[in-house]
Amino acid sequence: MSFLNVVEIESALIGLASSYPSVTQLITLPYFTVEGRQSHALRIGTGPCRRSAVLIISGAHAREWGGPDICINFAADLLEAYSLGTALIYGGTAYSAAEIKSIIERLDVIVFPDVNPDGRNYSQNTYPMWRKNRNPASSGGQASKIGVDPNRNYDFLWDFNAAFAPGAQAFGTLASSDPSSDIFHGIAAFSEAETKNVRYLFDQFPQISWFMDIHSFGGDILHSWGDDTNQSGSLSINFTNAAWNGQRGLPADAYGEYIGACDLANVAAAANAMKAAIAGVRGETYAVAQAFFLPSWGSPYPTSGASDDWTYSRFFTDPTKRKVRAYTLEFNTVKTFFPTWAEMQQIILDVDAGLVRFCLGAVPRFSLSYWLCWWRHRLNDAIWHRVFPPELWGPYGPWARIRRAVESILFPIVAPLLRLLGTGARRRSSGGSRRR
Amino acid sequence: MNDQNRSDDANQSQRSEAVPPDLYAARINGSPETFAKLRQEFELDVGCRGPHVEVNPDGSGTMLVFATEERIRELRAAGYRVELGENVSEIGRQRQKEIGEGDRFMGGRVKPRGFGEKRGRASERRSTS
Ligand SMILES: [Zn+2]
Repeated sequence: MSFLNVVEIESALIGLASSYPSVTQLITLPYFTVEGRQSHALRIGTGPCRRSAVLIISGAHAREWGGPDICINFAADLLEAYSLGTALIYGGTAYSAAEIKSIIERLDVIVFPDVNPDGRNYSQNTYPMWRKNRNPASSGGQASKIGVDPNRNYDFLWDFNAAFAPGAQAFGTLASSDPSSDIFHGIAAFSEAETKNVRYLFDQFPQISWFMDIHSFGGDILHSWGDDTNQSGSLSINFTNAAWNGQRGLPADAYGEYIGACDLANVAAAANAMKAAIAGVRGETYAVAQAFFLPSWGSPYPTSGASDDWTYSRFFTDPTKRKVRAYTLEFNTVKTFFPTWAEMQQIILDVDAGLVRFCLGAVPRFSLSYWLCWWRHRLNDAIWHRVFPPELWGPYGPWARIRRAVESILFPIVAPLLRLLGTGARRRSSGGSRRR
Repeated sequence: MNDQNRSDDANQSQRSEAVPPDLYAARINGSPETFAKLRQEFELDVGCRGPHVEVNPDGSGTMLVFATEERIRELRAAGYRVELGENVSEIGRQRQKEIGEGDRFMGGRVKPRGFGEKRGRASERRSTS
């Protein structure tokens, strides 16, 4: 047994998709890396109903080995336990067969294990401490200037020189416009294939409402926001408000990033549930913290263009998009990028136990549209399709013709109304959290 | 992006190939004020998201950064108390021996299995058969 290489990560996804065809969808991502690699993601879920979805990504930073291994093992465990109808156990943390079933049947789980395969390949074969991708576009032919940090390339306050206070740069974690820096943010937001592929998943699966970006090391579960302190008092103080440009990224000042009090309680609760699940495996203690502060000593660590902030910010820039609870997990409480494989196997058990808990938290408690859809399919399967022949209810039968005729009349009237109602409901719910 | 552009970019990446120098774990001792001054003077590799500082019994902190030998000399010359630790690049090279060779999943023909224990209905069935 050993760490997965970049070829094996993609092969593993293909193997899972072909082994569990009724429960998975292999997603071929459209953007090739500069070295010509094409990445894949895997959607796990069954049933025809439109549901909530969780997106788990890893491998953005090349030297943080183990993230893709965590994702592949997690997907393989979920699928095997579901197909066998068994419980899934990680040391002292156990999940019942019913819990696994609820994840697979009521949720879409999308895993994108290796966001930055070029960087990982370079780290695994040439220079282990490599962090960025391998894009030479800004290097001018100098090896020391190759690469963009994918986790500073998302479209969230990407133009850090304009958005943040000059003093925020001094914390050393914000971003850099110098290609030789390990936190070089690229020539534009979403300039890189790696981040474009992540954005593509959000565009293709608008039902994504939970997000986890796996990194290492530290043993931390980080939640929103990462650019500044959190505040729940004033919605007008936020990243979209240009009046606050040049003032972000410092603690204990007038600027704080807005997060509803309920949202904050919810994101922290989910992180703490994950922490407990991880601790249950073999006693590893992960820390839950706001990303801006890390579990740090005397200093904040603001970031610009990071995946978690962009993900959470999408709802605020466009309320028709779903609000996504966004996290970054830094696995490994031992401070090294390179655990032995034996150590990594233990870490995989820890984190996968946490990821199952994370997904359980995302399973919709009650959703009217889901239950209506569920009942319609059960009635179809149990009664309608068994009692009557397919000539009657099939796609070319009279029932389908009637349905198409009715839909063609009703759709132009009902669809705009539903869209209006949906937008109104989301606005109302965001207005509710504003008042808190 | 078409294949021609991709191979041009890859060739450019090959042409400018020069492996960076090894990095060492450097543990810097100081107060929050020391570290604030340090970060203003030097751009440091502090890990993924930010440094983790261990608090010592005397109340000081120890910050882990990754730096070349040259950078560590510069830090010491600037008056910082730096303990030179392990060569993390060398540890990485050792660990490269623990990376899979070839393709254990044979392009997807072999099904991956996870490390979690699957227990319950199926194993009961197996044990009674
Ligand atoms: Zn990272």
